Amino acid sequence: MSSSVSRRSSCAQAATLLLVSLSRLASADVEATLKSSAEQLSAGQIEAVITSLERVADEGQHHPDLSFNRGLAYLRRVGTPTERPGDLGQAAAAFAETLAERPADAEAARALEETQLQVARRNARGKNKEVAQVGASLGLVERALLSVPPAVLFWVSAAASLVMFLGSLLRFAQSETRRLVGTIALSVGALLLVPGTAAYFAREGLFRGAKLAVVVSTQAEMVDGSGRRVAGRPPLAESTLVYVQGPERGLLRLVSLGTSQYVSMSQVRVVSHAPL
Amino acid sequence: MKRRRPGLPACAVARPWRISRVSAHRPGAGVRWTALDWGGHRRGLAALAWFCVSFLWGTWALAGIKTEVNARRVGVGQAIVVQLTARQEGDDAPPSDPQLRVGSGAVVQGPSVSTQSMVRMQNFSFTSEKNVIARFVVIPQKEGKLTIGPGSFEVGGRRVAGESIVVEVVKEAQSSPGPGRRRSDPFDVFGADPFGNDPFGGDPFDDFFGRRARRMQLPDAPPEYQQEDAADPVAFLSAQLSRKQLVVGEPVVLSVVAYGSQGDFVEIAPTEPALADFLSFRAMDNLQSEPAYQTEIDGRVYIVRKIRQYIVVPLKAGKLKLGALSTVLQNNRRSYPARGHAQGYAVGTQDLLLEVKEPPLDKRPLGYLVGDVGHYELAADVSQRRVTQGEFIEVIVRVSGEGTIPSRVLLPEQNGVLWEAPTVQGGPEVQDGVLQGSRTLKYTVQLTKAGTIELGSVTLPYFDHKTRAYVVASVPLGEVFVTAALAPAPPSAQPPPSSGDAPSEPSTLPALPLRPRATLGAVVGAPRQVPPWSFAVMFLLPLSLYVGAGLARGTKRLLSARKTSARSDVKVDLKLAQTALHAGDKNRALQLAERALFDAIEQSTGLKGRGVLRSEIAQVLKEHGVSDEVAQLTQACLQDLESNRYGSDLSDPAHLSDPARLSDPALLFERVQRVIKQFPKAKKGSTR
Repeated sequence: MSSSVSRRSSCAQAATLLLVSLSRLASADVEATLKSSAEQLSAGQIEAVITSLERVADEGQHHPDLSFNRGLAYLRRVGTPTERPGDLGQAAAAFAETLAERPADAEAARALEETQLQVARRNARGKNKEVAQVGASLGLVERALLSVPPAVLFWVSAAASLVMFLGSLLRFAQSETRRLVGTIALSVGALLLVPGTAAYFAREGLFRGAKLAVVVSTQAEMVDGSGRRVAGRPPLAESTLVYVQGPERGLLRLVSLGTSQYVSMSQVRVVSHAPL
Repeated sequence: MKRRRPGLPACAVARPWRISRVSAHRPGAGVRWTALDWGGHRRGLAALAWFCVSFLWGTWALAGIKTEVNARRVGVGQAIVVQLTARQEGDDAPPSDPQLRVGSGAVVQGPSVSTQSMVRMQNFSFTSEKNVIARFVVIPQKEGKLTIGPGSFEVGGRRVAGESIVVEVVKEAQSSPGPGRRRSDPFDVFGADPFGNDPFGGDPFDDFFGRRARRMQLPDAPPEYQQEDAADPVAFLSAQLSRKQLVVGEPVVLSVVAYGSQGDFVEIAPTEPALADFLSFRAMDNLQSEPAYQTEIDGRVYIVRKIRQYIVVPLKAGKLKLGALSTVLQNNRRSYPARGHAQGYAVGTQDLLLEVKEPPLDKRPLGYLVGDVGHYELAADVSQRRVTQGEFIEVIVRVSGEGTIPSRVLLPEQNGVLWEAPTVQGGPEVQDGVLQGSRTLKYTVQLTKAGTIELGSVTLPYFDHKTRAYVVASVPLGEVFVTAALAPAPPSAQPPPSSGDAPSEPSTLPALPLRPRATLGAVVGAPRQVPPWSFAVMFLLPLSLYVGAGLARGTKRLLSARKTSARSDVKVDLKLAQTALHAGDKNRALQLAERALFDAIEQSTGLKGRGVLRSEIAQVLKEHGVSDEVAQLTQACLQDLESNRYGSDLSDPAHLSDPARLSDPALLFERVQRVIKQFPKAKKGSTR
């Protein structure tokens, strides 16, 4: 009996050790990749950096700094003879990936903004004047819902619930004043709790299964469920951040309260699968 | 609804109607008529009334057709406009078939028939009028006196005629009527009444309701509208230019004025001038916004109204054709004959030629763009004065003044300052008859060289059309301090690939201080997800209080109800016992009485008496605060009940309190009732 227990324990220890060592190995790999990419970027070996970092990304190794270097590599290829269509979109996608994993990365935010500005300038000067503004894929309500994190809604609702609870307690008091205070507290709590909860569930309903993606082609046409172009809607500009659900028949559905519109999977790059 | 003979005017039937009305509404008046013995003269009176009516109607028939002419003295071939006006009463059939007799030696044209409606106030009541107007044009062919009329209408099945007018026809053409009758069209609703004998006049409120307007005069046309010769006796257009010789880009005002001799007019189906070599701006909204004037040309009075005003700007030098404007004039009285168009009188402007030259070469400033003519001022604003190398600033240049407002200015180009194509907003518009306005040019400027950069001045050379000289407007932009970028600029701006969708311009990516990262930074974990059920808890938390409080209240109410029911058991038991007693069920009655007594003891003292020996119960009750008398009575009752229940064969008859009454259960029951009543009642809500 005791020998089997000790055997199990040693197996568990070995597994843990294996996991830790694998993790360290992976971390060491990421660090080495990052270091080498930084050196290559400094040396101007942009193609090599893009190739290696894309391969690493395809292998499933994700790190905000790797994404940042990848974005920087794409950005540096812009304007060179080796530039390819969609480089600015790829750069924006990489910076968006960095921000998705590390929202407080100011440098990545600045780089993303500058990339989108660069696209906007190109569109304004070039033939793509009819392309929509960069970053205008969501409607006002959707943006409002997205701008409030679920945690904020949770804590606001929790505080409101507590206020309601205390208000309810006070309503059982003998004193008239306390009962009045209780009623006010109850009302205030209800006024916060109901909209907070409604906003939370509206957000959940709208963005359930949604993923952040970036347009990586020079423009992405909006199509309907059957793949036909939606009339009257300008295409999405390169580097536009979109929120998509799907895929459905090779199309990704754009998150929207209104009509169902899709973009082709090949025209966008999903940068984050984490819940929004 | 009043009933009248067809065609009979209101004034003609007023008195008979009033008489009948008095008769109808004042019976006394009718009696008085009889009392005065008017009946003997009724036949004569009826004849007199019929005569009066006939006379009045005849008078009206004569005066009811109003005949008017625009002149009493005309030249041979000069048109005389004759207007016949017949009044339509209420729902009567309108006067029809107008005819005009004219003496020999004249040609009669027409008639053109129209109707005119108006509301009149008479004796403080409003009445509506409708007139049928027939208009003829009489053109005398020879000198002498020409009798015009009488004109007539068919009214109610008979022909009613007006008066005749004698017009003197002379050899020479005559001018328009003298002072006070300036208008050639006396029938215009705004014109003067040349006759002044309105058969329907006499209303003191006429001046306030319509008649006053008739006597209004249109103002004389300003000098620029005056013409020496009329291009057409009925109507014509005149196009006028504020300048005949001008330079490329110089604004000039083109006005089109319409003249009509047949009263006021409106436009039908206008065709705008081509203005192929011009920029054109409309300087007036519509025809009706312009005032009407009158002017006399060739002895006729014309209504004059500006119908178009453009400000045109020539785009090239040479003899440029403005194109012709054509339109059709008519009014609601349709007094303009149909000519060239089915609906009215077609008129058009002459095709104007404009001689346009380039501004003089002498003293022409460097950078002057032909067409920049006007009077301009420049203002500029720079968005930032301190930037990082490679960043952009915005320079906003505002050009304002009179003229077409250029959309191009001369920029101070220099190394390290890259000006992008501007976005242009605004432009000229016609304000107070002058082409003026402002234009904003927004430039995005990239500063690629570090250091203090003097941006220089934005200039605009133009030809001042007022002083006829060149002027160079200028505005300095000031200095910008450019700090060097921390990171090296991106690779050199070599030409990008031309294939595919790749951009064709060189990279203008700002030299951001972006450096590749060589060390791993912290990774922020994904935010913890909030379980949706937590929101249910949030709602349930305050609700749980109410649920708990409700449960507690319910339990309390239940307990209270149980106590109440326990108390009410005593009464119920006593009642049941009495019923059993009446039914002869002695044992049941006494059993219930005993239970009631025990319940009463418990309710009063909290003592459960069933567990106490009968012999000791008095003592125990006293200990629970019951009086000695009640305690003794209670003990006795209980012992008697027990004895009675078990029969009279008790071993110890001494225990019986009242052996005489043992055999009578009714008496025992009464005793129990009395004892129960003597027990002190428990306090409400007390729990012993």
